[in-house]
Parts: sequence; C-alpha cells; structure tokens
Amino acid sequence: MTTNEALLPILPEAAAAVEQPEAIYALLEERIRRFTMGDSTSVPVETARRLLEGILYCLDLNIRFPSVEVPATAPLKDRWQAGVSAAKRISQRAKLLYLQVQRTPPPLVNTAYCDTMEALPAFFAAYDADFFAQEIPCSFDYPLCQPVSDSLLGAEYIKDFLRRLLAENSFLRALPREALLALYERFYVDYADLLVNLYLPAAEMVSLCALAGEPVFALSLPQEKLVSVSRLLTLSGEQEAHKRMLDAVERALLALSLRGDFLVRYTMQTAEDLLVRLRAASRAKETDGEGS
Amino acid sequence: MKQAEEYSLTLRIQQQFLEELRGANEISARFGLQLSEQGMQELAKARTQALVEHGRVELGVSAVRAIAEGFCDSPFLLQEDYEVVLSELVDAFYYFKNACGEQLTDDELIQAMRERFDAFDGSVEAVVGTSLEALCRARRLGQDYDEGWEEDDSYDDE
Repeated sequence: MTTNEALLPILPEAAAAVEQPEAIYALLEERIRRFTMGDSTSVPVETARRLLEGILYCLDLNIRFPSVEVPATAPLKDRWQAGVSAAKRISQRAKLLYLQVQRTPPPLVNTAYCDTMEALPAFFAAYDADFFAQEIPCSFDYPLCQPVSDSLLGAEYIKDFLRRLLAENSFLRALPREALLALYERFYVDYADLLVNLYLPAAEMVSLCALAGEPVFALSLPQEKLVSVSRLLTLSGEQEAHKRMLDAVERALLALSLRGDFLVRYTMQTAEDLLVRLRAASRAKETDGEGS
Repeated sequence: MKQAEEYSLTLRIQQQFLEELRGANEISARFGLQLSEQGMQELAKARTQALVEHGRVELGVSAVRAIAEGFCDSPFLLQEDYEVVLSELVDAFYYFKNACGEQLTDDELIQAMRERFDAFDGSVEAVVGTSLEALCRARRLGQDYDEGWEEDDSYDDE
C-alpha cells in the first residue's frame, strides 16, 4: 500500500472524477508543506482531509463565482487560488453585513441573539481561507426563521446567515416595541431566555392582521377574527388561499414601508409556511372529527 | 483513463520514495550502513503501514530519509540490524508525531529519539518503550537517562 492509497479514503469521489489526481496530489502536498511550515512531512489524516476539503471547496467556489482573469481551463492551482480570493471577498462582505446588523438591532433582543452577536466576531478573527475556507470557526445558536442551507460552507454560510438576520431585524424595526413585547409574552412566555426566533411570531401576526383587514402595527387580533381568518384560509382552495396570503403580505409590507426583494421573498416564504401549517392543522382536526 | 493516471501517480510516488532511500544510502554508507533494494521495498511497506496505523498522511518528501540520516552515525547501529531497527524507528516516529500533538518538529523528534537510542546503547525498546513526556523531558532537562526511563507499555498496547 502506498501513501497515495492511504490518501484515497479522504479523497471525495466527486473531486476525483473531475480533477486530475496528480494535480490534486501536488496541490495538497504543497498545502501540507505550507501548513506545517516545513516542520513536519506528515500530518494526521484529519488535517489532510480538512486541507483537501479546503482545496475542493475553493475550486468549487471558483466555478460558482468565476474570476475574469482565471479561465476554467487554467491550471488547478490558479483556479484554487482564485477560489481562495473569492472566499476572502465573501468573508469581507460578511463582515460588512455583521457591522450593519450590529448597527440595526431589533427593538427587543433575547439571550440567544446577544450570544450570537458576541460569538460572530470570532469567525472573522479565525477564518482561514488559505487553508480551511470551508470551515466555520465559531459556534452560535440563534435560530433564524428561515435557516441557512446546510449546503453552504465557510464565509458563504456566515454571509447568508447575516443577510437573513438583517432582513429579520429590518422587519422587526418597523414595528412598535410595546406591541412586540406583548406579542412575545403571549407567544413564547419567556422570550428572553428561550432559544427562539424573534421575527417568526411578528411576521405571522402581521400577515394575519393584514388578512383580517386590521392594522398591522397592533400585532394582535381578537380571537373571533383569528378564527375567521384561519377558516378563510383553510376553507379556500389551495391556490386561492395562497394568493390571499401573499396579497396580505404585500399589503402588510406596504403598510410597514418595507421594501427589498430579499425581505419580501423572506416574509412571503414565512407566510407560506404558516399557511401550510394552518391547512395541515385544519385537515388533522377534520380527520380527528371523523374518527371520533 | 482515471485508473491509469492513479496507477502512474502511485508508481511515481513509490519511485520517489525509493530515490530518497538511495540518497540516504549514500550518506549511511560512510558509516558502513546500507539498505538493500529488498530492504528498501520492505521499508516502504513498513512506512505505509505505520502511516495507516497511526492515521497520518505524508505526501512528497518522506521523514524516513531524515530518520535514516539522523541515526546512521550512531555507534550502536550495526549493518546486520539496520533494516529492522530502521523499520521500528519509523513506526515509533509516526507514533510519537501523533502523541506530541504536532508540537515537535520532525527534526526535534528525531533528535530526541536518537539521544534516547544512544543513551541506552542502541536499544530500540528504550526508544519505543518510553513515554513522549520522558522523551522530551530528558531532552529538555538533560536528565540522567537511567533515572528518567520507566518502561511505558502504552506504546506496546497500541
């Protein structure tokens, strides 16, 4: 068995199918040498795997964000280097987004939100695009309403997380603090200490208020209105309910003077998720009724 | 096509490793030590096995040449044991690389192993049977080896 054979278990099949093994081998060899700064000829398999994943991630980044100067036919090392530069650019943009999120906090925050904002600078301090561009060297737990896709890695993940957080914050900042506080106390009881998303109940309540024709800033609906809105959505055909919901979201965002394609899509997706849940709950109730 | 490329890569790596050993032979020959072609093949196998067993990856230049060169002027290394001792030292080297958590450079580790080896009259057991702490402590403090060495069977259990 050779070292190359020992390396095979760490070489993802997809990469092996696309790139020349010789070129990957040479680049990995060079990265290991750089990583150990010539102090060691060998590294643990886990380190070699992380370095290899970093190389493959940067090659993939270069495909998704092609560099003008580096064509797809360029040598592997040039394409990898262009990918590293792309990762660094994404990290820079993520940092700007972080500063923006920091400047525009929601009217009310909870422990998970504060902990996450405190944890994120560690990412920018420790992110190493040259060796481990695919990694996220920090841990945070604030749950977004629409989570970041697990397929995103490294700075891409953080950038998308912050973009979503910024959208959620913009939405919440358009609402009165007192109304939010009352809503959270009804919805979560202990919103400050629970690991909960702050945007979700507000976005759902705004959508329902708009559907009921009530002022969205109130973030509250009398029980009978809530029941009638739910009935309206569950008794309508799927397409009609969908249209009603999206129209309501549009009206709500207009009333809140909120714009921006991403925020609109984000809020519409949240409203669609609510619709799915309401209709599923209604169907389950019907089935229970038939059963009993 | 892909398989052929991988095969040629494997061959190239094997050739490169044997070339390194031939280079080491030129130096060790001055001290009356040489690896036969068969011995080099055996050492190549032993090195790969050690890398796999200790969960390490080594591409390009191997540490084996540095180990051979680091030990070849030891007065306790004899031609008749050379191939076997070198194989055992290579295995111990990769074991200690893991044990030290990448805190020692290749050269530092080889030097520490060599000092241990010589201090115990060329005993490979003294090298492989010691703990990393004892190995490094002895090196740092210039400690008396007879006092510092306690049989450590953690390596044997691996």
